[in-house]
Amino acid sequence: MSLILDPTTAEEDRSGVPTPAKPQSRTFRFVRGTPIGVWIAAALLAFLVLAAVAPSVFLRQDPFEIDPANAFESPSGVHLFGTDQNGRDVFSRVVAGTGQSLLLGLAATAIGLLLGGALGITAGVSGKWLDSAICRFVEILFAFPGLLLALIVIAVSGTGVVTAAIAVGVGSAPGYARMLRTQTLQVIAAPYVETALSLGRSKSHILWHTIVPNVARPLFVLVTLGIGQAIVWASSLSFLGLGAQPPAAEWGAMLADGRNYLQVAWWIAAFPGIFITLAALTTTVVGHHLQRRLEAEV
Amino acid sequence: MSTNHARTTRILALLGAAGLAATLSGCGGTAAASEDGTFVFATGKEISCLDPHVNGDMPQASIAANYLDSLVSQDSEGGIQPWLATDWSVSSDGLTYTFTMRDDVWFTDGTKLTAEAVRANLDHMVDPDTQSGTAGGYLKPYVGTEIVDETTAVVTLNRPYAAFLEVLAQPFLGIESPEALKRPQAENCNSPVGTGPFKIVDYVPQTRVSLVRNEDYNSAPPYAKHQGPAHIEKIEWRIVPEDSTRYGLLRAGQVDALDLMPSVHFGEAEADQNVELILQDRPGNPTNLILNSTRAPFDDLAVRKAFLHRAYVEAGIDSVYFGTVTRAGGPLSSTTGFYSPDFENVYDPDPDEAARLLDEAGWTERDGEGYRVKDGQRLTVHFPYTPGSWPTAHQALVTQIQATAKKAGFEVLIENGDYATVSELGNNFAYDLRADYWNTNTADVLRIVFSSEYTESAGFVPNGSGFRNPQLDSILNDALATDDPAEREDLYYQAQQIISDNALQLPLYNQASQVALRSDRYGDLALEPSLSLPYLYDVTVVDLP
Repeated sequence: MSLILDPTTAEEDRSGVPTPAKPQSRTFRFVRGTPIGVWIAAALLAFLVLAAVAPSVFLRQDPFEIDPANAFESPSGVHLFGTDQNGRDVFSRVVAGTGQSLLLGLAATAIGLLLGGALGITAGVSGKWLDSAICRFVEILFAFPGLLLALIVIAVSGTGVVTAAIAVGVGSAPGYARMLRTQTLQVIAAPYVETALSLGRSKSHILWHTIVPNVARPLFVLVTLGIGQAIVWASSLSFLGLGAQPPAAEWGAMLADGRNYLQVAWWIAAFPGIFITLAALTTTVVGHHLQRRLEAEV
Repeated sequence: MSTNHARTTRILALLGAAGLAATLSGCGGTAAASEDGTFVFATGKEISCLDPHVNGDMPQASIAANYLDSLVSQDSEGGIQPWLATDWSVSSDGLTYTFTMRDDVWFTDGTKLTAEAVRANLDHMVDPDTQSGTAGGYLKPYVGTEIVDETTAVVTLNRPYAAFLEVLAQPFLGIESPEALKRPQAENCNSPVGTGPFKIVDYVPQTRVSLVRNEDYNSAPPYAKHQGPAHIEKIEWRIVPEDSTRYGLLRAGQVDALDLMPSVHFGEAEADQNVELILQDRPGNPTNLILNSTRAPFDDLAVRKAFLHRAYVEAGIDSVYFGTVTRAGGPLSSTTGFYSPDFENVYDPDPDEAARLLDEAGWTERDGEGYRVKDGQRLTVHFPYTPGSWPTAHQALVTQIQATAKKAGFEVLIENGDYATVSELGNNFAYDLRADYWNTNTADVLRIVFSSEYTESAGFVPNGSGFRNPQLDSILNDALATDDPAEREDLYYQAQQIISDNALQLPLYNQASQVALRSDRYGDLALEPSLSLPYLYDVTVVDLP
């Protein structure tokens, strides 16, 4: 792996202060080589993941318990993020919604990758005819903006969390298909595939043991980048009332709930909105960083 | 990597700024009305078809009140007055109505108003192809119209119908040009023609309707404050479903009036010197959730009663409606004739009674999530709902009802869908709860919403509970056959009793016209008396000092 020097380390080295003779450890270099923004993003992401996995750590009130007498309370010690139009604690709802939002993002990305991967790798390894057929098909899908494609899926299969995940997955599939096709073509051209061929390996063996693992390697990065987008799209669907159904504590649905109260109670919409932004931003920042490291490594 | 860091910070700062800008954007429009004399009215609900005969929802009647005249009119005391018909007589058996029409009125397409218009319009409303749930629903007793001469029409009914003239006064039964009605329905929906004070010149679905003044108008009803053409020249009837946007446009001065005033902004509007609120509770069947009694679990009376006892409506009206609507508990709104207050509190919140009723009905077990179970089936209530068709506060109220019902062990599934999907389910009784209301100026609304006559679809199914009770049917028909007020009072009391005893609806609040007007620009916006709809004919421009 390569070490990117930042100005502070360079300064330190030049100062001539005798540092321990042993070379900097791999972990140490990893820590020093990661910008502070990424650390902040990673910490926030860790918080979100914790909130998703074990919401009870943060929950202080039942996110579904209504209390009309205490509706529209502004943020305070009792209600960190205030209460919504039904007197529910906004903080608890945001925390409770983390799991659903992240899971939706993950599931949608997985579906998108699976569909896109199947199309892209098939196109990459197969001959002229099938390749160009798949490419034209993907181009047709590209003619629709991703969210519109998702809306078409919803229109056909109805509303709900599961269909929302599928819809967003389908919506993002063309992008993955194109990326994975290019990746496959690069891998096929690589010397080790040629070596495998000359060693007399069967085509299916090469496909599953050489091509797929090498194509899949950068996927981790794609996933982290994709999740952020998928969360935003899934929230958009819920915002339109097509995803999570009431009283679900889903960020997009909460944002929709709060939009007509912005003038009198900004916190109902603001906090879910901030968390959608945070989730998308942190996964993207971390994903970008991983991508850069990986590129540097290769 | 320091650039990377800086970029992250920049993105965050940008997002923060955008958020602030969205919340802080202020209001404050100029006082002057728009220069070309266009009055901009923002309505909160989508209009399916401009012709109020088709289907028949309130937004259609609202606009119809401004471009259609009716056969007769209603005064503020409920009395029937002449309009396009100058005179009428009713046969002693109550089956024949003879109308004498005005001889000096023309439709805005040049057609002359004659007795033929009566026949063409009433026939159009009862034609099954028109899918007229409201107007056609009111005209079930209609047999036909005979033209005696140019100005005399004789309408025959198959049974006495004491509410006939009252419903004729509603804009839903407004009189359209017979020539225009001959066109295909889709065309007439976009450009219906009447004799009214304004005429429709353009319609962009889901966006706006443009109307201009009828310069030859000579048929203002007795309740109008003047005669001849209207004071304002043009109307832009803009469709703005988003509550906060609609109100924001009024405050910013981009619209001159709005309906469905959002309850959350009432306090602010009341304090605003430039805004006048015009409020009136409407008669009819209150805003409600109707319980489908044709399928499980609400086919069981005990379950229906338990659901009503476990729904907390009062708290929601205080919190999300801020007290801007009045609670209703019985089948009639308090401003309806023959309304009795005795049924307001029959199903007040009573968790113990609800639990007892559910136990008695066999829903004794509870599953892991706390929902009641019987024979392995969860006590689930399906509630298809179109959020866009209802005020923001209504959406919050149904969520609150969902939460309180859960405590009794009901799983209420609010299933959001678009208008078409939800009405399709509504037409086939494929729901357990349906959000409803029925505005009309007579207690005969009970027959439309609860009698077995109205359990079939004509665009929609008026009787959403699917309740069929021969005793109730005959009481409601008897009430139409008598002129004796004491007898009618007694019959309508019995009807309210039967409906209340059967727990067919969860009444929420009285329907109300809630109109806001920029009073620094315009004055004299009144509500027409039959359905309390905004009536722009008398609107005057305020002279700036």
